[in-house]
Amino acid sequence: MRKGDGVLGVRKLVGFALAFVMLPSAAFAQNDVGGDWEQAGGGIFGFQEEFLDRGGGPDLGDYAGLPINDALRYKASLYSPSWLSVPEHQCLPHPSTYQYRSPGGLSIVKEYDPVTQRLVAYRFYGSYGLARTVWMDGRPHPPANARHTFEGFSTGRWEGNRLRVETTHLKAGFLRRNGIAHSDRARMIEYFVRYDDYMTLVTAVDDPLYLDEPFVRSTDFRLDPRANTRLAEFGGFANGGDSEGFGASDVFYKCAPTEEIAMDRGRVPSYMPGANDDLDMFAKRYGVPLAAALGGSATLYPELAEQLRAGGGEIALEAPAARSRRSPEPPAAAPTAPTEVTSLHVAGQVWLVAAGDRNVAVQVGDEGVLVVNPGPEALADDVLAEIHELAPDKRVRIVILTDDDARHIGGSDKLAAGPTPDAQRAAVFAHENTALRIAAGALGDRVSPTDTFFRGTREIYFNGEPIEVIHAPSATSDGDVLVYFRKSDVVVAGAVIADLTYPVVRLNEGGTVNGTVEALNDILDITIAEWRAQGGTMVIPDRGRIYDEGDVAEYRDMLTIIRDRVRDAIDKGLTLEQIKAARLARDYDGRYGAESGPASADAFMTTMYQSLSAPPN
Amino acid sequence: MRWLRRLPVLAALAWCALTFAAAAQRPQAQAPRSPRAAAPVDLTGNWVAQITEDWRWRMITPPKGDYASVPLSPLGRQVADSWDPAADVAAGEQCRAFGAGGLMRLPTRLRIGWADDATLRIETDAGQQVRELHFGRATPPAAPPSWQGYSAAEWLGSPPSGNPFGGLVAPTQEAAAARGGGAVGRFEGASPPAAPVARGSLKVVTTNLRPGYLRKNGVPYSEQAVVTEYYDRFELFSNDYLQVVTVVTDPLYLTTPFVVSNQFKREPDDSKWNPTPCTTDPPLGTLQRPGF
Repeated sequence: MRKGDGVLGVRKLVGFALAFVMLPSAAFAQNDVGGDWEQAGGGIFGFQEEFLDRGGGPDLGDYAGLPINDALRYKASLYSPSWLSVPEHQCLPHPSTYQYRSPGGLSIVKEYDPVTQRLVAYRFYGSYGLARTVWMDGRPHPPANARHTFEGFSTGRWEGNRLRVETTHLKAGFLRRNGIAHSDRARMIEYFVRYDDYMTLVTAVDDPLYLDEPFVRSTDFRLDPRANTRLAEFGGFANGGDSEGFGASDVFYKCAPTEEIAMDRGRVPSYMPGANDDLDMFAKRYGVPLAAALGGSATLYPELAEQLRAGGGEIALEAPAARSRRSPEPPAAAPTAPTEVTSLHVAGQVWLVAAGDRNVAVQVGDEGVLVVNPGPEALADDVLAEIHELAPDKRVRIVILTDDDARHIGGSDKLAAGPTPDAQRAAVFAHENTALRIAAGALGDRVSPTDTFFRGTREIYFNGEPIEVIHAPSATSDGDVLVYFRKSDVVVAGAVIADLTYPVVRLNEGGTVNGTVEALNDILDITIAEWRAQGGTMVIPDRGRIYDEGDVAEYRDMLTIIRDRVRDAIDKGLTLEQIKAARLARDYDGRYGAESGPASADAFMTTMYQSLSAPPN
Repeated sequence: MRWLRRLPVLAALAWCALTFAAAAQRPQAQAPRSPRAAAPVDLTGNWVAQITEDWRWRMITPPKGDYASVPLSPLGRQVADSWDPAADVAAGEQCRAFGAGGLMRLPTRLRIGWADDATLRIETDAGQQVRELHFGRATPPAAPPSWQGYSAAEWLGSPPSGNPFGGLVAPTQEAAAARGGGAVGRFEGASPPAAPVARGSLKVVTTNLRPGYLRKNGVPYSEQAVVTEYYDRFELFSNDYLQVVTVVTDPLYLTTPFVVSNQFKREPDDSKWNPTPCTTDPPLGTLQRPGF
């Protein structure tokens, strides 16, 4: 018999056998979620649930079926759609907690390690261009002070026939487009499950600040080989094409804010408490009692249907079990231990060294090390050790102090010292007002700025990078400075942004609330978002996590909105006690109110009132 | 030394044979198990609906003609527009909104348990309905149509007994239609390669239905409707959830399948079980025709 003769040659036999044995892999793959998906009802608008919410948009005051707490109800009730006209908000994407509720298709692409051939990640592409990665390689979530994004940081694993995804590091973002938004403390768990040619995405969002229980909903898709092209079609629709996107030019998802109406710099539209006459829009339109329309856990369950069926328009909603106002942080965002010193790369030559709960900014380059706010005195040795890890054989050459707070500047003496007693010390920069206060304070004998300035900006060129030290007059004090690393594109905000708490405005040191708001707007003038209101210029706050423009805008909004409410109350003649009793900032107290001290909700309101009541200089 | 050249080939063949033998022996070593024993997911217990989506169409009875997002055919719209709740009451048909096509969408509690080793029973307190999901009997017995019809159930996510590679099944009607027809078989029922945990789902196909409502305001499905459901369980932030995806196809009243998904949260017991009869409730609010 010649080679290859026979019904099945050896090679064919091996081939068939291999194919047969490989068959299970093909079978298993049918459960996978990779591929192109359209809305369950077909096309880009074919969603068959939540038509109003996902389509034209919900009514104002439609919170029914959402397990929101009083704080979020209050926040949403004062939301003005004009908020979207603020330049920093015009390009906001839907966060991953909402994104898949949008019209359009969804493409899920698998990425493999080219060497090991192991699955590394799923890449998600979908409506409005917010791409997302779900890491499948077991990597940990980032540390607490890493930046947050609208897509968050997601890791996944297979549980039987479903893909489980956990997401942390989210920015605040809409859960419903009428002011219902989760905070940046929210976490999300998702399950992607494929059933025949359908895929269901179950999404649970938990937010200890704004939700009384996890908010669970599901979104259905249908397999569609054309779905990837429909992504572009949807963009075409948004750019003047017909309902299927045809007839439009190609899509460029990049968004740039524009000025379509005249708006004062820093204005943040929001209703004053009690002034939103449209809050009952949904309730009136659909004959629903206002108490039910305004949501809460009790509006999710059958007991409400019984009450509504009984009629009469009056209902009594059972209050949910009390939930801690400030729930523990999720593991991935645990606060830094008070004595711990860690470092995190920010951008370019700039690093964040977390010294306890204070942030030290460190620029590293050929010429040496520049430090902004050395941190508390007790951690100075640890901060120096961490800097040595980042820059072996380099000395600290420049120290910049953004204000005179001992928790920022206490370590200045040790960091500025040379390796030997007679070695040249580092130059210490500060605004003249700060220098004067340091000299008069408890640290005056150990911290001594060597280089002060009076005018608006001090310029430094170090490590091949232009650096601007910008005076922020009457911010949290009269000596605050912002530090901008031009090439690294990083701003150090100092006390102007406290992240973890309200800013501590020191009225007795020349600080004002309006000056702090102005400083935040100054930062926003510097920052440029890379993509959809995030990324680009990075900002290091006094405490907490790394910010970008979107986060600064969120902080600015908070301070501006509360200021406007308090000013409105003052204009109406309310006393400080009456303002406190009205809890005008109760939508923000859970996020920014410290447990005690000058950043507590009570002390912050006192400062706000006094600052706004003071006669102008 | 020709045998040396063939060594890789022989090794591959041996590997294939061993792999197949090992795989084939695993299920055969087990006695056939009942559907109850073979369940890849335990759905039994007490569950309560969470109405977090389509609240206006589920928690209250919406106005007549409010069928936004339901892919009604012209005939379906005509029927929906002519809904007369008083006529339903007069005809004793208050359970039209409690049929299998719409039941799981209602604000209700579920009590799920095994009637026998091959029948899973679902009770609802809203409308006091009982559904029986039959394993191993795909063909309905001769019986008049009913609100809950006949439900054939099968597990997804665990290999069928005797076949180590999962079951080759025909595509569903709607899946075939979505592809433009064709009888392309495909495998299902097995976990992806990386699956560390054996989990699965329940698929239920219900036929032989009395005409009913997808929504309480008379949005119809006909006696030709087929209801395909997928049941699953998820743990979400330490809470146990039951999920039901419902796909309703109806050549008479729907132009495409109507796909919705519903969540139920586990309750520790049935202390909140509140049986109420089927009702036809007056609609609330005024008809809106929202669009984009």
